[in-house]
Amino acid sequence: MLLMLVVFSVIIYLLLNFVATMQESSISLFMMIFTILIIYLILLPVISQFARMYRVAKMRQIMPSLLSVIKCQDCNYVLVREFLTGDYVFKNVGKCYKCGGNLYIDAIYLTSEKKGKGA
Amino acid sequence: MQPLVQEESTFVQWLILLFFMISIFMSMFYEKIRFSAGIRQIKMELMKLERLAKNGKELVINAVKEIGKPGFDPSNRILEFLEFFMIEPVDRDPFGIMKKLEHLINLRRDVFRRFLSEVAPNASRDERANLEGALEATIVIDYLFRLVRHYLILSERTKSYILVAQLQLQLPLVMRYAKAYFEALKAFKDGKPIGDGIGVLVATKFVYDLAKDGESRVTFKEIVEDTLVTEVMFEGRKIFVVRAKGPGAFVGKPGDAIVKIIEDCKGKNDISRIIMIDAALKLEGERSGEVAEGVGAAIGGIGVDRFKIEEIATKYGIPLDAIIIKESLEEAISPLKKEIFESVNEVIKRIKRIILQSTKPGDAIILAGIGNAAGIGFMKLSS
Ligand SMILES: [Zn+2]
Repeated sequence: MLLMLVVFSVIIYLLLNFVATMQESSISLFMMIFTILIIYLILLPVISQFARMYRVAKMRQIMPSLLSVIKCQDCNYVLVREFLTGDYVFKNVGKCYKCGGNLYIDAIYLTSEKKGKGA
Repeated sequence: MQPLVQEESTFVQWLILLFFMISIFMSMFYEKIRFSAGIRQIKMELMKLERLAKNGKELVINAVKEIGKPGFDPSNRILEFLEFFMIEPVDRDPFGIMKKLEHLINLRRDVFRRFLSEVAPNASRDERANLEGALEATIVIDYLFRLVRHYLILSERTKSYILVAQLQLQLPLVMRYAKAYFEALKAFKDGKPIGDGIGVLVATKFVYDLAKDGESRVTFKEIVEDTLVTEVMFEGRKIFVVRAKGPGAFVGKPGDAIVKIIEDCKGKNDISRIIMIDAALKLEGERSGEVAEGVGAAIGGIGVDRFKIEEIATKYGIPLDAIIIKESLEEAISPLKKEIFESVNEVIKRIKRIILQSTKPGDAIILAGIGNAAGIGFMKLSS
């Protein structure tokens, strides 16, 4: 940090020396660059605010959801739904409406797929 | 032209002087400035940590009230209990330290269970195990909060820049742990399976896959406290499958169970191999859910179970195979991720390959699925 400051002040020194020897039009160019820099510094918080909002919106899109996968013991019936309190893997959750076999929870896992596409 | 340049150069001289002043000022007060900036940052993080600890306590108290239905307000008892501690045995004289450690761990668990039966009298055994897990996670978060607060106050009092710098370096990791334990708390409270339960899941799936093929029927027996064992046949080999009881957040005593099976089978049906499956911490950069094979007792924790398994395996010369599923600490204690779940079939394939390659028909094998059985039950199959 200190080193940076020293280097910075040396650069500024050289720059100002250069400015001192410049023509009037060049000085105005230098002032213009300076103004742009100041405007940028003022705008920086606004820009970062927008960036944060964008990131939050993106995060919300890939909200992970906990899913329970229900399978039939006898046929190939599969149902995927949101996790409900009381669910656990290998829990019996009733009879299959297709074949009457036992339905059980085969898996409970967290997906990070986009909402609406998961289930 | 001439006057302008003249004017500019005095301006330049002033500016240069200003920069020198600033740099001298910075070099003099650099540590002070860093110190106060550090303190400010730590205070902000500490506020977040305090919020986590507070929310955690509220969640646990509400869960206890909701599930345990005590006739009184358990809040104060729970807040008191968060300060519970265990003093580890002296390790200067290591002889018999494992026995002492085991004794203390059993004692600790007994106190936890007694406490829960007091504040949650109407909860089932599985629900109590879940509350126990949630309580443990809350204790960790609360401890992290108190620890960071301690170092913050200490460094403020001693005005020590070094302490602040150290705390600042450690803080991101501490916050990661605290957030992970908060996730664990929520998972335990609702009985969701966590990443650490993958070993248990693999062992149970292994059993049911074989049962589906019609080779055997499944009945789990609780041979030691909180630990289930079942026998299945696979390609002429008899396989004892060990796992923690579920679907509560039990970890069981796989060490005791394995010792008991080996001693029971001695003489008539000697165990010829032990295969252990567990989740293991990955190195950053490795894929979650990656499977790796090795030798040794794949079991974490404080070391009591590993000690027992290593000892009995050495005593009878039984080879120990280990299969691990890699995950990060956060993944291990928060709800099971899909990419970790998807490694189940790969692990089962490897177990079958190890059994076929290194044992022969008629052998007896122990397959131990290690981990926390939260959210992983076991069912009776109809056929
Ligand atoms: Zn069916």
